[in-house]
Amino acid sequence: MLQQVLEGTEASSLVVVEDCVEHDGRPVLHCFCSELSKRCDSVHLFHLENPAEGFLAGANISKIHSHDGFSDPLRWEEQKRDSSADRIDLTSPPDFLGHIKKTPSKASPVAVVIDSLTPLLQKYPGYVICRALQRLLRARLESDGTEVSQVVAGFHGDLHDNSTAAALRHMATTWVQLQEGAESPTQGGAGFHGNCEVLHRRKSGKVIRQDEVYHISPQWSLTSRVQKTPVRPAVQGEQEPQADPTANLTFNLRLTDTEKEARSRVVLPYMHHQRKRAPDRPAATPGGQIFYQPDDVDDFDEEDPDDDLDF
Amino acid sequence: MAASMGRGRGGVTSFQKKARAKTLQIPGTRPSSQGNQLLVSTGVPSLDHIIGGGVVVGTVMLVEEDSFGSYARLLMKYFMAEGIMTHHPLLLSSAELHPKQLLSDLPAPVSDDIGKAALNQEEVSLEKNVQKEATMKIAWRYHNLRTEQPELGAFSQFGHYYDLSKTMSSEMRDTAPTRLFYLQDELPLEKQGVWTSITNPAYIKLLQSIQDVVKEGQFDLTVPQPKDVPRTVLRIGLHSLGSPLWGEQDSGSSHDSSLPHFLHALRAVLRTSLAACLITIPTHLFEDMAFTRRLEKLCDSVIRLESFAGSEKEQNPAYKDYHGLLYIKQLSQANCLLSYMPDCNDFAFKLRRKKFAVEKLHLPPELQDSQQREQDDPVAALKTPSASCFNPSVKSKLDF
Repeated sequence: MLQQVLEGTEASSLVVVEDCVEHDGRPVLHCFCSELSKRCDSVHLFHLENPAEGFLAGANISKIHSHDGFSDPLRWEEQKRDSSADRIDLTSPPDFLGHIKKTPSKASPVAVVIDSLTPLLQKYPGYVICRALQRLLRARLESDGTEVSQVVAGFHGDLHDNSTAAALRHMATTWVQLQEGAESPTQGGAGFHGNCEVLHRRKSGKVIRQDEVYHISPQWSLTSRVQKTPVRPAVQGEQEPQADPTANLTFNLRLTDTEKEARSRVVLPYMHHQRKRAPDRPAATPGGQIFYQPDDVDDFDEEDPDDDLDF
Repeated sequence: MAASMGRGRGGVTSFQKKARAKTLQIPGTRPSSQGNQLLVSTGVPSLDHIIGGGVVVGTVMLVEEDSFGSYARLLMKYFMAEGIMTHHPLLLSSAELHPKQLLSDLPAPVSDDIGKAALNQEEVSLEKNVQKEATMKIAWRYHNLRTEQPELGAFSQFGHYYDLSKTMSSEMRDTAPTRLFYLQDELPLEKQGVWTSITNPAYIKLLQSIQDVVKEGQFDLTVPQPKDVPRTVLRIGLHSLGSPLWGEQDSGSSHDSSLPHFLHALRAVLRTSLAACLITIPTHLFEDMAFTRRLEKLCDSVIRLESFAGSEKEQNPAYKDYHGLLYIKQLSQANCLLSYMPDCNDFAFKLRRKKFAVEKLHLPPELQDSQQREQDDPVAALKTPSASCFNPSVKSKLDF
């Protein structure tokens, strides 16, 4: 599922990659960056926690516009500011779409990668960030019609409380939770790999939750594979063989085939009435009907029904 | 309430009171058995049945959303579609989707009784094909009884049936006057900053808008109306109120009280007007249970939806026929001492291709004794409360 979202076969407007201390999300974001630069006309990278060079390897650099939130977010070095580069200010509420509109080249559709929402969430309440993301997702409806095809954001699960995570999860169409599994991502020639849980919500309303293993090659391409959860042994383990009650007895409780057939033909006392009616059609009046068949000894006297008059 | 007992369209009885009371005969409503109330249908007849006939006019019905909000959105669509079918004016507000998008996707009504029967028949025959009926030998008296439970609310004529696979045509939609409130249009996103005041401007605008519509459309009951003006009921739908886009900030410990203020003021407006309101709130986003309780107390009827999508309950065999559970938390008590009491409290809903229906939750019968131990059986685990010495999921040293 992660691979399909990355390649674009599964449409997802907002992808959030939640990582933790043991399992870093930066390689996955890097893969998204390089893949989106191949697919879309223009990628806007908002990097707030790392310098841009960490994300540009292996990607089509001409299509990536980076918005720098890393060098000087709080405007401490106002004089040395290079006014040509586009910088993100944490002193004012986040406005991703405004930054996108300020870039000179107007290519559409646009993809957005946000390195991390954490610095913004630490300064502003959750709803401000949600609103900024919503504005990105609804950018198509605004007057100049920039279309944002996909937004990928990183989120550090350890640094925020459950309610912020819940609010973001409510908005996200795909939530990738990188898990601290036994296989932590190892660096080296083999690239990165690790466990993750993907919760994907399709437009039709169907929700898919899968445990997956992903692998990132040194050329920054990601492959993922669904990992089957181990079956709970208590429910589906082999059942104990049922003890056969007819074994080890001094008398015979088993039936031969002819005896079984004869048994099925025995007329039980209350079955008798069924023969008289057509059994397949449901009765017009549900409930019972009473059929009375007098015995030989029944003496049904109209004048004395209880048979207790004694003259 | 000034709306006195009247005979709604499709009337149940021909009894007429001799007193010269003002009878309000409004199409699409019917009198309630609980008191001097008028009811409007929610659009789902089985849901109407379990909440006592419908939404009481003048009250607020709160639907607590499921985790992904899809079924709550469906209920809102049914409510709006019912309003169009009964020619009630609509007021729809939303922050995430544009209300026009919600309105463009309403289910089409099933037009006549034959269609309705066909809809039910199709569902029933699907289930019957699964098992062939064996003739019973001993319990043959039960052979003639129906195997499937009757659908809740199937015998009432109130409320329409809808086909989810088709959408309502735009001509039909245009017959009812609608007023839309899209938060992004009223308060543009780029002008919204951090709201530090205690009263959230979004809610103030919404309340203003509702009051304006009530005054303009002459739904206000305190203002005397000329006799010849036909009265009708306004349906208000507030989709996904209290989501982060409305500025609802959950800092873990406290919420500001703008949303309770809004609900209180809304109830005051509704009590004196001919309007019924359906609100959906994603309460699963609120960590503070006390805040959710406050919101529930400020609304009249409350139901909560819990869907199985994406949760571990999806694999539970007891729930395999259903898509989620429905809890009735509170029922409206306006103008009477006691609210409607449903006969059972476990309801589940299922969304089929064409229909959304609410049913009583039945646990499947335990036919085989293949589960040797009760704690392995997920069906039995539902019945035993967790406050026992056996905790099947967590093996603690205290289990015996």
